[in-house]
Amino acid sequence: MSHQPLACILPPDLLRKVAKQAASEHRAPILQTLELDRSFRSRRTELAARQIARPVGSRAVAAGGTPNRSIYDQEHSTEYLPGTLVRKEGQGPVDDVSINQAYDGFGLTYKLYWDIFKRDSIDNQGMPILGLVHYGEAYDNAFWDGAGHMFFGDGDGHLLTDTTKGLDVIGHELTHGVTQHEANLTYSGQSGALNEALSDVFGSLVKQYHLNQTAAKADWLIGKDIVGPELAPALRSMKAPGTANQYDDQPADMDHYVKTTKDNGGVHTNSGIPNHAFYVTATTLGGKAWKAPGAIWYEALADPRVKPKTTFAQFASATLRHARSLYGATSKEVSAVQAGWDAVKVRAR
Amino acid sequence: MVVKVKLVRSGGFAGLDMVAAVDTDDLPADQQDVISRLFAEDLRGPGVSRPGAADQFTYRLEIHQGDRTVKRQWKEPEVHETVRPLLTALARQAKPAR
Repeated sequence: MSHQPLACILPPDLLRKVAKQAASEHRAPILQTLELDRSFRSRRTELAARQIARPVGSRAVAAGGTPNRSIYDQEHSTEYLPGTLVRKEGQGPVDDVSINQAYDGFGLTYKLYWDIFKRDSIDNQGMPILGLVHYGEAYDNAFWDGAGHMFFGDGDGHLLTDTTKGLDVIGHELTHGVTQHEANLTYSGQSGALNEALSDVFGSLVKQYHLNQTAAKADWLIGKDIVGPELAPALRSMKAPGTANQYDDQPADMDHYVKTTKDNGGVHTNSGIPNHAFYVTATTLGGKAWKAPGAIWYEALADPRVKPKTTFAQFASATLRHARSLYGATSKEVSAVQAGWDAVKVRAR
Repeated sequence: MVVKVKLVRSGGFAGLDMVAAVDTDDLPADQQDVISRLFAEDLRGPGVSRPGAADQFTYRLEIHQGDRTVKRQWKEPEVHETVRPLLTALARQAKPAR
């Protein structure tokens, strides 16, 4: 395992014995420590159990902190195999702006996950990050293929422009990889919308961290840097779902959940609900959203109890549980998380 | 007999449904040929959509001839190479569904 180990001074058995004999005013912090300790141990066991094949070319690293990026030029083909390798880790900028933007965006996404969450790449084991640029002709999309590759289209200039320009887009797609290696949320229905929302959340945090923006200063828009005139000013708004562009049909709460068979049960539509919950949590707390709100959401995503078919309510409860563990049952962080889910009418306990 | 086709491209990062409906008479001959083949057989490429994939397009094509309708659907990796130019051309004419 390449991530930093957690070595504890006080074993859980000793803590439990002390808690039993402690006066009531001293018991709560001990129990809180035990819950934190238990969550770390569970995650470590779960991480060890989740063995997913790594792409060819991956290397074993003694410690994290450095990405391993490779950017390929698909030269407008729709082949799924990587085309021409144009820039690999450590090489300087090349003439192709799109290649450089993908490279830099991967680095900034890696940086958020490493600096803030101590996560070593997508799989937390230094997985290579592979970008395939100039996919298709005027292709209006970017996507994660589930096999370790992010694909980028150039856009048609009307709906979308060069998708490598969107730092939140890059963070969004690579977070699909993180989710795949953690909760592995099924990409349909509520779990799929949650999968989408987690990508919007962490994609936004990549951008906010890079710009050093507080929650109050951030615009909470998704895709602002890649939309063409038809979809301006943005693809989605976490602050005000349904207002990002003339076609935006996202709901802002469960009363308006969209039941549809399109788009795998509306995963890009209903993601507006958990997106808005995170926005409310982050702005209620104030400060920088990658700190407490990011930590809570990250711990929930990495929680082995969050399963592939997790619903909004189950994930909400996981965020509350981790907020209590990290900050205390009566903390302002717990209140902010509750406020977030209350705002979108998702029951969280 | 007039043949009508309707393409709905859904999903993608933007999560936007794009719809195009055309008479095949308005299409180039090579695209009309592909539609004729699709009416008779489900052309699929060798690719598969992997678990964990996200933000890929799904293409739904309806071909109407008289009182017969054939429906074909592909996820992005499943598109056959002979079908790809047709879908790309139809997508260029498509408008966002409101």
